[in-house]
Order: sequence, then C-alpha cells, then structure tokens
Amino acid sequence: MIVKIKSGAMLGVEMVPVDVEVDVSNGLPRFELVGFASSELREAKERVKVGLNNSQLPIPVSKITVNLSPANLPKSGTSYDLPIAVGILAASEFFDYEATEDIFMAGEVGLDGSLKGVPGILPMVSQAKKKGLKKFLIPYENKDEAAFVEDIEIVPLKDLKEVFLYLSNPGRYTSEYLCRDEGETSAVKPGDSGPHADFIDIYGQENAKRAALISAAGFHNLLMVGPPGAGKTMIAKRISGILPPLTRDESLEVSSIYSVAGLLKEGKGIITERPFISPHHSMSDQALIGGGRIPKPGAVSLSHRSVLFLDELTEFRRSTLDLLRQPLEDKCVTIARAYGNYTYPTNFMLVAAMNPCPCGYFPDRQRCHCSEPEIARYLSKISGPILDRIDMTVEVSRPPVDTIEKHGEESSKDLREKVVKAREIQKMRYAGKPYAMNSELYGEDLNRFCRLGKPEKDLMAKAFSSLGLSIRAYHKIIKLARTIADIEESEAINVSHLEEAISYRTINRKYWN
Amino acid sequence: MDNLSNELPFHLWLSEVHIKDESKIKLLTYFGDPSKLFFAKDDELKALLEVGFINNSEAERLFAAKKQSDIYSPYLAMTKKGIRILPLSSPEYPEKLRSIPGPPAYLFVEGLLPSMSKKYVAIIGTRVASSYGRKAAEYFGFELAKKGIGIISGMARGIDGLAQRAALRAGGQSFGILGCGVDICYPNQNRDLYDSLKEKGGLISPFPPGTKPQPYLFPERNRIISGLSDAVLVAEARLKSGSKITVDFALEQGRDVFAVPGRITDPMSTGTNDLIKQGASIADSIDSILEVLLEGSVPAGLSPAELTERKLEALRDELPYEQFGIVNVLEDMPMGLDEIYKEARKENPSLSVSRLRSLLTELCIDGYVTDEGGGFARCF
Repeated sequence: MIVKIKSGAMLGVEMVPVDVEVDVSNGLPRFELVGFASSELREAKERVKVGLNNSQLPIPVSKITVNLSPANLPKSGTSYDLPIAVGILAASEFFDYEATEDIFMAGEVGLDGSLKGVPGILPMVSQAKKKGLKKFLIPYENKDEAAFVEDIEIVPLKDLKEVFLYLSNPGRYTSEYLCRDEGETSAVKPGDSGPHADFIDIYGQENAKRAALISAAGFHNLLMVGPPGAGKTMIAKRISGILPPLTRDESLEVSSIYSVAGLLKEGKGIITERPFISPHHSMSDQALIGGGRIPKPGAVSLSHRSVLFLDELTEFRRSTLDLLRQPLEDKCVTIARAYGNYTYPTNFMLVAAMNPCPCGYFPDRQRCHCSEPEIARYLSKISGPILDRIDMTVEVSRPPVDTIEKHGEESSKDLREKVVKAREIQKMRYAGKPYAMNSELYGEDLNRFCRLGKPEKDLMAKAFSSLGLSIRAYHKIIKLARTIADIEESEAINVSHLEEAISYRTINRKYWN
Repeated sequence: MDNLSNELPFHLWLSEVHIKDESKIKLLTYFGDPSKLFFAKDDELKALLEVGFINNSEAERLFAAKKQSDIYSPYLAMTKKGIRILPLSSPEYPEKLRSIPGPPAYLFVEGLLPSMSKKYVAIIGTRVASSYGRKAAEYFGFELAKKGIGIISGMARGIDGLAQRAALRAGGQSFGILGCGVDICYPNQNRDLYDSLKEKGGLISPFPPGTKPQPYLFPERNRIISGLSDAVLVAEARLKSGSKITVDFALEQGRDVFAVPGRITDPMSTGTNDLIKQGASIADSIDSILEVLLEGSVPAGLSPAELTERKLEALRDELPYEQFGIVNVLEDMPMGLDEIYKEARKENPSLSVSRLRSLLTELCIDGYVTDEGGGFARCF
C-alpha cells in the first residue's frame, strides 16, 4: 500500500512542500530511500528502523520504498525522519491512512524512538498554513516556536509511541496537545543578549546619545569614531533597545531566520526583542553573509530588522566589508547553489565603531603621535562604497573620570518613545509605499517628501561652497534632516534640522571627501 | 661668463660624483675648471692620491665617473626643465650661503634666487601642526611677507608649507629648499605650492636633479635653510624634532633664532618652549622679529593676542547671543563636541546637543569656526 505524508524542505527562509511517499509491498525485505537525499538524510533509514523497533512498533518484513517528492529537489537534514516513520506505519496499516491525511510532519527520530527538534519549524509551519494545512505533528522541543502561528492545531509529541497513539485514536489526544491559546506566546530571546542594556547607565555623551536617537528613528547607518574606552560599544549595545518593539510580522520574519539557523532552542520560543549582533573582525566571509554547502544565514541576516554592530571597523578585511554592499543596498542576500538560490532578508541597521587613527587617540596630541599620512592610510581601509552607505558619523570622546559612576537623565524607555513617535510619523507619510523609513528614501520620493523652502535651499548652497560638501553627501543630509524634523515633530524640514544633519558629516568631510 | 657656461656641463658631471663637497671644492681649486678634472690623465689623479690630496674611495669614484661618455645631454635635459646649476664660484651664488662654514659646492635652482638686498626669515616646525601652530605659521608667513621679508622653508607638510603658502598669499616671496632634486615634488600633496614657488619664488636644492628624497639628505637641506636666512623662526615643535637640527645649524652660522611660545601643558609646544628656555628670542608678534632684522625701525602693529581680543569684542556685537557664547568658549586648539557642550552650557544651560550642532554648522559655514575632523576651533 502507498501513503503520502506532507512535509517540507527549506530553501533559505522559503519552504518548498515535499511529499514523503512510502510504499510497503510484498517482496524481498529491503528498505530503499530515493529522492535526491543527502548523506545525513539517507541515514534516516537506520534511525527510523531502530527507532520504530525500540518503540515496540516492529517494522514489517517486506519491501519498503520511500520517495521524497519532488525528487529533483535536493534535500538534507533530519526532519524527514518523522514523516518516513509515520509513512511506514500507515502503509503497513498500523492505523488508518486517513488519520495522517493533511497533517504536516517534521522531526528527527532517535534510536530510542524519541522525537528531537529540528531547525526551521517556524517558517515551515507558518508557510504550510498559508498553503492550507491546519494540523502539524512536530517534536515537543519545537512547540514554542510553532505556537507563534495562530489559528492552527499543533501536536507536539515526545516519541514515536505517542505518535502511534495519537494517530490510532486522534480524538483522545487532540485536547491535550493543542497548545496555542490566543495571545499566549512563550517568548524569550535567543542567544545570550539578556535584557537590553539601558541608556540610563551612560552619563554625559549627550552627543552620542543624540546620534543614537536619530539613527534609530530613521534606521540610519551610523559610524562612531572615538578613542578606546570612549564608550562606543556601550552605546551600540543600547541602540537595538531603543528601536521600536518588533511587530508580529517582523517577529515572525526574524524568528524564521533564527529557526532556519537552528538558533531557536527549546524553551526559548520566538524572538520578540530585536537582537544585537556583534561579530568579531576576524569573521569569515561566510559567517558574515551566509553560506556553506547548504547555505545558512550569516550575521547580516541574523541582524535583520535590528542592529549589526561592527566594532573596530578598520580591522575587518576590506574584502569582507565590501561584501556588505549588496545586503545594504538590496536588503537581502541571495546565495546561489547548483540546485537553487537561497535568499535571506538582510534589512539591518549598520552601526560601526572605529578609532580615529592607528594609536586611537587623535586629535589628542598629548598621546597621539600619528602623522597625517598614517592617519589617512588608516582611514582609507574603509572603502568608499561602504562609506557611501553610512548616513551619519559621530565623534565620541572619552568621558571625564568623575562622571563614570553617575547616571544619565534619559533612559532607553524615554528614547524609545521618541523613536516610536518618529516612526509613526514616517509610517503615515509613507503609507502605501514599499518602505516605511527615512533611510530608505530614494530618487523622486526623496524630493517629494523632503521639500526644502527658500532659506533651506540657500543654506545648502552656502554649505556646499564653504564646507566643500560632496554631491553624494547632499541626499544623506536631507534624509537625515527629515528624520531630525520627524523627531521634533515638525512637518517641514527647516534650517536648524539641516544644520544639525550637516554636522554629522564633519569627519567624512575631513578625511573621506 | 661664457667661459663659465662652457664649464657648466662638467660642473653637473662633478656634482653627481659621490664624493664630499669639501673634496669637490678642493679639486676645483686645484684644477680651476671641472673640464680639466674630467680630461685629467689617470697618472695625474694617481699622483694626487699618492700625496694624499684625495683618498682611495674618492679616486675610485672619480675614475668610474670619468668613464661617462656623454657630458652634454644630461646638462641639456636639465636646462630644458628650467633648472640651473650654480657652482660655489658662480657670482650668482648667494653670498650669505657662501659665508657659512662648509658651503655646498653646488646649488640647483628653479625660479628665482634670494636677493642680496632683502631680508629672509626661515619659518620651520612640525609636520603635524596643531591648529595653534597653523595659525602661528600663517600669521608670521603672511605678516612678514607683507613687510617685504622673504620666507624660506623646506616645503614640508605642516608648518613649512603653511608659512610659505601664507607668504605667497600676501604677495611676498618664498623659497623652498628641498631635500631632493628640484625636479621632484616632495611631499606630493604640496604640488600646488611646488608649482607656485617656481613662479613666485624659487626652488633650491644642493642635490642634482633626479635625487630621490632620503631621510639622510634632510639635515643638509636644513643647513641650507638656515644658511640662506637672516633669522630662523620655529613656529611649533615637539621636544624631539627635526627643527632642532636647523636651529643648531642656525646658531653655528650665527643666525638669530626665534621661537613661538606655547602653553606649558601642550606637548606640541615643548620644543619651542625649550628653545626659549635655552635663550631663543620669543616671537609673540612680527614686531619682535622686525625689531632685530631691521634694527630699530619698528613699524607699529597689533600682536596676534590683541588681534584675537579685538575680533572677539567685535563679534560680541556682531553675533547673536547664542552664537557668540559658543565662539567665546572655543580656543585655538580644536575642542571636542562633548567638551564644547559642557563649557557652553555653563553660560547657556538650556543649550541642547542638537542646537549646539546646528549652531556649530552655522558658524562653520559663516567662517567663524573651523572643524578639524575631531573637534572645532576658533577661526581667528
């Protein structure tokens, strides 16, 4: 008899439906698995065989053929163990075939018959739901992330015995395992970021705080320049905490990426706080962009909708930094493989920090002996195309010693309120557009939404001639001024907004013009 | 004169032989004419070697150099570039330089030469100037040039170039003394200065055209800087500095040494302050230099400190209260934004960072304030 079990393969964050077809028929006893399976997938045979045996569900002595359809799509991973096991049981009529119909299954089977969590459950479930499936049989470990998807029936199970019991008499188990209640999500962030650090810890540094506020309000890429110990990293860590809270859709997007990367662990649920990703400068290109034989998301995708912090920007290899160009521009990376393209979203906010010179203390001549060519050489490590994508540069200086133990006046909560307000204004302005933030303004729309009056145009003309601004700085200044105006809740961009925006280009003007 | 111009190709040949200037001068006195040295028989040189007139390595180098077949084309190539060679014996050779101990055997010149009737001040100092040093260099370069004093310097980055540019801006004369051939522009970022010095002043080097800049060549250049000048002014220097070398030469040559005093807390001025401690004259305005150079006939002028004060007084009326508050806080040295914010809030507690930023931009655009990449400084 032949049965088909519904499952799925992940191509990036996209799920492709896969039917696991199992045929159990008379003939010489053997177990055949076909359908472009990778080596770890081919080992599913042994895991399923032994797992079933150890669950007192002896595998029938007959000819078993398993096909993963579409057979031309390469498949990997261990999530097909469960559908294969169920398929064998159904095909050998351990229970009614109808009991398995229209149930999506994914999960790994251990030799003792236990079900183990697999990566990618969240995007699989949410996309399978869009394809009309309502019932999901998944490992217990993955229940928290799957629970995020509303309006479906999730059956998280611990081992094959439970699977057998559930499928042999579905009515009995349904109520016990249905888990998603409206509004209830067990939501804990992944990784070790803990609760976001608060801006209240930072005394003084009003200048850097203001820059953080503006960059967060408009999702502008920010570069901080300052001596070691000035608090650049402290500030960067706090920026993701003042971005508006993730919306449900954003949370699903971000969690899907983490799910595919296998970073959503049992008990941690989905991601509701914006992550803070801070890779070391020795990182490989693959770790930044994503890659591998089966491409996994890299740092640019793990910081989707949040902050990617590159500390010691000049220490990164130039070639590695240049890889950021496409993700910054297209807001996604596409990694091509022979059997298909993997696309991961990368709409992140770049926050970078660097020293002003090789020794780190320029322009403090008491400590810095770097010559101008040395400084120029040091700064030229950052390529023009990357600088082009940085909207604002801010100098961060070392706070005086006596201020270290004091607390600041504004907390992250206060700043976040301002950011949220500015974002609301942007959202209303860009209603119906494919974007929602000032940093994403380009071309025609830039002129449309950032009209300058006569005094403002005069100021820009004067600034160009007397400060030697470059043309490419022009649009950035206007976008930045738009955000500053939004923070001040001003409908029009006025002279003081532009002047402040111009002041975030002093360093660029001096060294990178 | 005609005789001399016939000799010049041979002078160029001799200038390129790697032996000491002293020996070149000695050989020239002996032979009278470089062509005679070139055509001298091997025996004659050997005889000179035997009596100890020249030493072994010098003889070897001369023998090797004498094998050169073409004397004229290098000379023609040089003159085509507009470069002249002045042997010590040339009547054009600057008298001031001729009288120093161990004058260079040759000078290569593009453009003019310092004139006998004029006074010259060398303005030298650090290559990485602070904004205070820059202001000092520009003030002295500009104001001295306006009084008809020529400015001599090494065309280096920092103080040198700033003083020379200021002198040219004032319509004055300036000479760049190079540590490489005059056909080479070093450092390359001073290309503009290099070109305008050719037109409005001169480029002078003791090294033949084509000589690449090398660290060991610079002390010799420094010796010529002081040798061509009547006084040497150090605008800004750290304790360990190349300017020290020039000052030592200046003292040896009997030139007056001036130093611009700096703040005692400022590491960039430790060298100049130390010079003052050792007896250099304080250069607090051009008057103190003119007093010495022109011996008595002192034109009355405002000192830089008085100028700053006057300007501030004028700005107090000219600028709105908020703007003036910021200008008043700023100094010659660039101040970081955080520091300006802290200081300016003492007077104006309602000032926000965003307001400060926009005010600073406004002041920069209007030319009252300059931004130095890492901070802001007063423009005057």
